[in-house]
Amino acid sequence: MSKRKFIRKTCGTTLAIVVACAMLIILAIVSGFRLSVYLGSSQEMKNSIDAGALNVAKRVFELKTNAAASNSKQGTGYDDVTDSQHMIGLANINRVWGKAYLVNANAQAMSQGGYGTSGDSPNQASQNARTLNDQLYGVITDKGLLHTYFNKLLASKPAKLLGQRGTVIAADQSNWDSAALYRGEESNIQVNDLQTIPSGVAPNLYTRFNSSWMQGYNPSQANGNYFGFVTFHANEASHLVANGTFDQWKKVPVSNNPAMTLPNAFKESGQITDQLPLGATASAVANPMRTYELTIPHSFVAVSLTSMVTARLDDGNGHVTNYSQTPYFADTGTIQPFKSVDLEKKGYKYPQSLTKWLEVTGYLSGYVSLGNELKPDNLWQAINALPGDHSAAIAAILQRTKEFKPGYTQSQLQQLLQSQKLLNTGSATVTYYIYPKYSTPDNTDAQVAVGTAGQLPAWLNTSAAPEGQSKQIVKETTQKDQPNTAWSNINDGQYEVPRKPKPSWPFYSTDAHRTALSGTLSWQPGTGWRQCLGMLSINRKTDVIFTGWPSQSAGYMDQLFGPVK
Amino acid sequence: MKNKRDSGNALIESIVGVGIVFVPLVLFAADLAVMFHAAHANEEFAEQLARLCATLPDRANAARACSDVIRQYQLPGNISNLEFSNLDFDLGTQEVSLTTSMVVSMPVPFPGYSRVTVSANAKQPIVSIPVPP
Repeated sequence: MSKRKFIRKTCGTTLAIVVACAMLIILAIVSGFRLSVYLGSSQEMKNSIDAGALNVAKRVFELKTNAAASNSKQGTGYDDVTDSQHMIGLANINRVWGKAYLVNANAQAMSQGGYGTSGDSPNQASQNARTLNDQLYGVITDKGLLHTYFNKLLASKPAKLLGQRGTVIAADQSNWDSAALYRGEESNIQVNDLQTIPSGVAPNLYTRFNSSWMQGYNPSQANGNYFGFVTFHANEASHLVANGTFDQWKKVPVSNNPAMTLPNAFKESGQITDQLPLGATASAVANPMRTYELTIPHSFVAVSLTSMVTARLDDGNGHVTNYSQTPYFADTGTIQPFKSVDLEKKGYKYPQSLTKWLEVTGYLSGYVSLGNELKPDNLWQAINALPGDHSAAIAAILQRTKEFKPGYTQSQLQQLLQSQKLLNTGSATVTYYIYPKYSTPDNTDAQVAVGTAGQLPAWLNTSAAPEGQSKQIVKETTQKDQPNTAWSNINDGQYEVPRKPKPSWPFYSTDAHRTALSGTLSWQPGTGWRQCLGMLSINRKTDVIFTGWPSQSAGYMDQLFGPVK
Repeated sequence: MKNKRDSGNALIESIVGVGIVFVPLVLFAADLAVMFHAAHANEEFAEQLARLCATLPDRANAARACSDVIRQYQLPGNISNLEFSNLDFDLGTQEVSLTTSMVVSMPVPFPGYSRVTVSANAKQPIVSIPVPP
């Protein structure tokens, strides 16, 4: 019996071992399968959350604030740096700071150059930029809005290995965060033409690959105010970044930042809704892939031209008739200040010597040829009409023009001004405006134009005056008897000769006269906050003296009336 | 005699157990492991390919880049084919999606399952398009 029992036991044992081992192998296979599903799902979830975070970084630029939202009459003053929807978002907030910076840089340069203060313009520009910045900060850090972009992609990227239980959703939003990465590197505001910024003001620039940019997260200072730009690497798309890199910067404040620090990186976390405890976090850096130049898009430079003629009939011996001062233009030609003045009746004399005055008779008519200095009649000629160093005037206009068209050259400016004919509007002063024309809705493709009232774009406010004080920057060399000339005609003109009876006095048909053409150019800078970046005022005066005298030496007139200065 | 029969029984049981249960199980496990590994690799490949496409400006460039990557890809010995399909470069939704397929040769070819095709879809936000002006 005992043997039989033993035999039965032996027989069952091998099979039992085989079955047990098979069960173990099956268990191992099932465990391996489950582990693979777990690991695979984990990876799928991470991919999904990465894509969600990237989607947030990419689409955060769709969150915007309204640049026109202000109670003031002027609005926020940043309508010209908005996008095509007239909004300010993370992509173009640096344009707001750029404009504010230029306004303040202009104010600082004006103060340093002795042009006075700029009133409240610079501070208003800074304050409004801060307001817009902080409004935008509120929008782009709204986790509810970011949540939409995050979940949008997650919804179509479940952890497929888990089937219906593999839906990935946003995790607790308290773990979501934002940070300012790449301190001191380039923002999306390019400054390749350093003359865009007035001299004496030094911004924090970042230079790479022969391009210069306003530094992001390293605020530049001008006029005592700081301007905080956001870093966006050039030629770089939105991309994922290591959580460690994100965490390294998220708590580090940006020093001297004048407003809430707008982030350029966002961190989100998500999880699987299944019972599996799977969750992950991803960080991504946003980049609009759009760069702008440092400009004040809606701004202009004004050039005003005033040419006046004053004429008088003055014998140097107390007989003076002043004729009213009148404006003249390039096309004025010849004017006749007076006609057939009876010299004898009005008691005009002529100097036989500096102490001896003798009589003259006849009817004197005077003529002045005007506007010759303005030929060829174009604005460039108007600026450079008389000898003198005009470089300061050209430099002032050119620098300000660069504030809406960086890279603009002096030869381009010359060509532009030469294309502008001088106009005779009837008013003493004709003002010409150098301004940008845009074909893109976001005012980024400036073409420089020049024109006068009636030819200007609707946004241009011709009543905007520059904030600074006017200062003479060019004194031209006064020109005597050229290019504006005078001549006269005397009918029945005779001049006294001592000890000769009147009928024997010699005849003369023209008098001694002189023209003096003088000019000054004054510069009155503006900050651009109210559009006007500055006004160049050209003032010229043609001073004509008719004497009624018979021909005298040139020195005589200078002795009596003083030399032409 | 009885003792000899007993020994034979155990041997037969062992042979039957190993040959019919263990070996197929182990071979099945090997196939399963290779298939899972391939599926995982394919999933990652699809993701990477979609990320690459997301950085390109249009569908044509994306398709060309995918083809280039696949052409240069060093296929493991057990992968006989790798291709992408269904490339959708949607500028409206600003998302790119594609499917990659790998044909995997099983280390232990069971009848009808000597080759298995694993596929994966991947979707990524297009990051190559500048924000509208």
